[in-house]
Amino acid sequence: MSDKTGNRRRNGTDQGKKTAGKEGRPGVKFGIRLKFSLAIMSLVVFIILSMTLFFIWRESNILEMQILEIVEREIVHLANTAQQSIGVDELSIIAAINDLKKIDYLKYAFVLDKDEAVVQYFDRREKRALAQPLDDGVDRNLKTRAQSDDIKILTGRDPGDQRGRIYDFSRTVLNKFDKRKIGTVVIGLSDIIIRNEIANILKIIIPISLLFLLIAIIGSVVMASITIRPVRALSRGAEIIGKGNLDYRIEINTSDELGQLAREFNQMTAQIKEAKEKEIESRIMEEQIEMAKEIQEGLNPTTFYQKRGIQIKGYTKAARGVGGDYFDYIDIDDNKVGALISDVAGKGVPASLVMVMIRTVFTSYISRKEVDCAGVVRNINESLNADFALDKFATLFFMIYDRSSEDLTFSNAGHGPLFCYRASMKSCTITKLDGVPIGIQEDSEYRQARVKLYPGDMVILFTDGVTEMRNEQGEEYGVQRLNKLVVDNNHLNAEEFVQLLVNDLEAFRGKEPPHDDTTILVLKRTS
Amino acid sequence: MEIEFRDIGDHKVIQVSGEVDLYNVSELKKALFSITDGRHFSVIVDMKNVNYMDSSGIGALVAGQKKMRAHNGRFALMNIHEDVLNILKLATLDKFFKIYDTEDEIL
Repeated sequence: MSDKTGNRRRNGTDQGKKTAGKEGRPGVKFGIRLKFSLAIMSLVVFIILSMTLFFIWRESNILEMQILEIVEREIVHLANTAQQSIGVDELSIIAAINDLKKIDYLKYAFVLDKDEAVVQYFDRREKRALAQPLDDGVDRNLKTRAQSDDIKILTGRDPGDQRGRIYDFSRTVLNKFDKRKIGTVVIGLSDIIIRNEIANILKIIIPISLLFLLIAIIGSVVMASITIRPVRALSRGAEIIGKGNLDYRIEINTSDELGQLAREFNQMTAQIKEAKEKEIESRIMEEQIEMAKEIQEGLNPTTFYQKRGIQIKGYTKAARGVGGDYFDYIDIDDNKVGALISDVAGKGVPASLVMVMIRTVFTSYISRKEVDCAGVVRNINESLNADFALDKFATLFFMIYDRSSEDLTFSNAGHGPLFCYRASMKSCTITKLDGVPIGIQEDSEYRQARVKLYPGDMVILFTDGVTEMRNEQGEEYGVQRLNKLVVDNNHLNAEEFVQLLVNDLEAFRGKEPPHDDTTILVLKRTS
Repeated sequence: MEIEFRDIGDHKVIQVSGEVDLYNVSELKKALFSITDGRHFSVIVDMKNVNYMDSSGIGALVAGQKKMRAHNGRFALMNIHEDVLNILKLATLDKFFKIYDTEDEIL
């Protein structure tokens, strides 16, 4: 028995493994770690790039402003020199121009007189003629600016450098006293200086940015790994548990949501394990009850008794599994045949054990030669009373038919009256006889009654599972239906009638499950 | 099923309400066993509100009777519904139990 269950359990696990293997786990193509890392990385790259660009932009602006300021100071200086020296001290102007010429990022510098003719200059673009009006294509609007000594800054293409620009600074020089225009100073600044400085800044900023990017990428991968580790542990755990290892526990002891999830998962696994064990236990229990049922069914005679004018047939079915109903019939001697029906209070395994006790005592008493009905019932009661649990009792009906006297003798232990079809009257009669059920009190007195049985008469014994069988509407089968069935079908033999009654009960019940054990015993005198 | 206890004079009364069957009989049994342990001289089961009782319920009553008898005490039923009484009669148990029709009969 244990081998059988062991095998089944092993089969169960094998099957489980097979299904898990067959379905497999869909491969993780883009892992959560990769996604997480990429998300952090792109965010960090975005921030670092933005910061770098902003930094470069700001540095460039500061640098440009600084350089423009320097040049503005130079032009103010040149204007001052021109103010004092135009038409007076040519040498000072030459010295001033030469000083500017030393600054190699200045493209040109001019000192013009009041008619825009060149007084002194240097120009790295091309040679100019002195005392001739300046014509280098830059529209400085010098004529309209005669009254103002503001510095005007223009920007234009550098003809000598494709990518270069020239910042053109010009300022009108006014007479110190009457503020009349006495000339103009012009300085041209190449932006190469700005571009070079920016390139220098980039040389520093880009490696730093790259370094930060590298650190950020490594950091994001590490961070993703650390954050994802519990998720991976969960995923792995779920896979292992899913494959059937219910002893596996996910080890995450953090106090965050993932830790909580893991704890709940573990709890759930424990519950599943418990439920599975219970299921196995209950399956074993059910198997055992099924076996017990087979054994119990074997205790009731299954053959159709047909001997010398007497037919006996019985039927029993437990509501579920095993039951407490019992019937039996046996030849006592050549003339006498005894038949018994019994119903133990309650249902299931406890009732079935009591039923076996009754059967044991009955079969041992019935094997004695001299028996009478009341004696058998009294003996059963006396033998079993002490052994019954306090709340256990059983009803029992025992009868003996004697072919020589044509008498049916019966005793009743709380089971019910004798229900008998009388062929002569074409109807059923009920014969009552008092008697306390088995197991109620040790000293119960039982009497016996005697009736005649004629050919065609049929005794129908049954347990209350028959008359109390309910249909889906909650109606009971009742004695009336049984009565009509017997009267209408009295021509059938005992076996046919039992089968008819069983079929009729099943049809009546429909889908409603039976509430009680059902047992029928029919004895018919044919001749 | 509901179970309540009360006292009428020297009698311990256990009032049962609802249907008694195999699935709740253990409750009744436990309640009955708690008062039939010899502490009370007389135990009466008031079955006014019991309209259905199966054989396992009757088994519980039988057990109560047997226990009280073992202590030389008294055990009785009261206000039995007709359907339940018929079941007792069918099993010839109406003579086994002392049955009161009303509370007045007790006093």
